[in-house]
Amino acid sequence: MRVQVDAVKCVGNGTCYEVCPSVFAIDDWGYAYAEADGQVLPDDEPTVREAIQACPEMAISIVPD
Amino acid sequence: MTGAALADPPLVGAITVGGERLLQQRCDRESFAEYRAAGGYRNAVRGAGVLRELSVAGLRGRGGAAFPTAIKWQAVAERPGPRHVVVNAEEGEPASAKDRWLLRHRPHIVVEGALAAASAIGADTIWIYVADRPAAESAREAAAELRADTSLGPIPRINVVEVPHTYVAGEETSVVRAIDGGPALPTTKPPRPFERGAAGSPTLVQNAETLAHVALIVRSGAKQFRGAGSNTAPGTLLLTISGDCIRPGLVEVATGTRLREVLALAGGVRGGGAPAGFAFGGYFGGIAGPRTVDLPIEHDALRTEGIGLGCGAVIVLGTHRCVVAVAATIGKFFAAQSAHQCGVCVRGTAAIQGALERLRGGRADPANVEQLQRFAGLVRGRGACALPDGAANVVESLIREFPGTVADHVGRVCLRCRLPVDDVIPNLAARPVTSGARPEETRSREESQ
Ligand SMILES: Cc1cc2nc3c(=O)[nH]c(=O)nc-3n(C[C@H](O)[C@H](O)[C@H](O)COP(=O)(O)O)c2cc1C
Ligand code: SF4
Ligand code: SF4
Repeated sequence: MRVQVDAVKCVGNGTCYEVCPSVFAIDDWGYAYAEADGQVLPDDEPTVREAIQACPEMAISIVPD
Repeated sequence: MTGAALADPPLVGAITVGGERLLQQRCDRESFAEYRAAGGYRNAVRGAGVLRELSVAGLRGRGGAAFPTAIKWQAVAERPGPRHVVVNAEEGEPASAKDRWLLRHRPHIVVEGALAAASAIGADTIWIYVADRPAAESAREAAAELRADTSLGPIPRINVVEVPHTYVAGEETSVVRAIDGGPALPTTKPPRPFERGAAGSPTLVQNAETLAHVALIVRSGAKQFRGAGSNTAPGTLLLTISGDCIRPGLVEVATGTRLREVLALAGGVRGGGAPAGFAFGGYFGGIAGPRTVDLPIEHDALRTEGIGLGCGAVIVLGTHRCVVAVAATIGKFFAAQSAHQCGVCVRGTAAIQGALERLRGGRADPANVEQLQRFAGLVRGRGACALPDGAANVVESLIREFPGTVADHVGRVCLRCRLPVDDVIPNLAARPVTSGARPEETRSREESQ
């Protein structure tokens, strides 16, 4: 699974990082990005899905193959 | 604010076997009758045959990314219609002038390429997308000339769309958004225009110069096209050479030509001496050192050296220029041209601008240089469009190509940095309209058929 953060939608409240710090990171200005080009290890998938649900801006999406 | 007229670039010459293909020494506009008399609009190849010929020709896009045209056309053609073709002549790189030269002086070679594309992919609408007023007028006249001539049989509708001249307006998703009546601002991908473009239909967005090459491929064939240039990126390309050279203007070169030859054709470095470097790709490709004069002008060869050829705009930096001042000015340009849609772009390009200004002002410490590099890494690939990557390219190329100069600026005031560089690093008149603008303010659309 691969995810991406929509830079237009992200408001930088950090929720995704709180829910799933192994995949999401916060930059120097507070905005989120997915590490390792968004590649998600199988073990992280459940928490990533939680983060997708938790993002108030619906900024995180799964990249279609 | 539409319709600003930019300076008409002079022609410098050509470095290729068989002479110029696209450029002609002319100040006037080539009419339909003249173009036709010289062999235009007589292409034997139509429909699927065009795609086959294009694939053999190996033509790659001239708008910046050098993407293989045949692959893009195939992707649009295999999706259900209706389909659209867009001639992208917005030319947002301030140092580039090739696309406006083509539309002003040789509109029909571009339009014939667009007709060939439409016939190959089965498109029923062509959009000519421009910022330059004289180019828009010339395109409208070309559409009217075609309409008045019935000998070509049925042709697609040709519309001209004029937008304000901003950096992001030429990005492919901005193009589609503006055609649909919105502001000329990028949208998040996917979907890309080939999937969902103008009016929600699969859309081929192609640079104006790219389509001019297509016209010659349908006229003279792939073999002739490959008669100049390198194997992996064949043909000729248009360069806009500007900055500190004696004769700035447009040059047509076979891909693979050394920059040294182009510089000689442009009369050499103004003021004499060796160049301090070159700003490449317009502003997007980064700043390259003097060693670049011996590199071949070819997308892949430059890419492996970390330099972006972009749309072929090369700015010569004279001996007296400080590359840090140039980088800071380009950094400021990117921050000003951010469309203020993505948080990371707004804050990241502003941070890069600030850090480059610090370095220019002699106020940076070693940690600031590391921070600058960190900012570049943080913004790359993150925006809805690649504008932040342009800012990252400037930073990374400066640090990679000029480590000594950068080190000399740490905690030390550079006197050469005080010289303004705006004369070689020009700005754009318009700033991107931030989201929420009313569509009527950003576009004027002319239905010509
Ligand atoms: C910020 C940005 C600005 C761009 N501006 C232009 C432009 O002014 N003209 C252009 O042809 N392509 C521009 N492009 C590239 C287009 O998105 C698109 O790839 C191109 O028009 C495709 O044509 P080509 O394949 O013939 O090069 C820009 C890209 C980005 C990221
Ligand atoms: S939760 Fe959503 S809005 Fe908040 S930082 Fe993460 S991606 Fe951005
Ligand atoms: S990355 Fe910057 S220029 Fe591109 S869409 Fe986002 S805010 Fe606009």
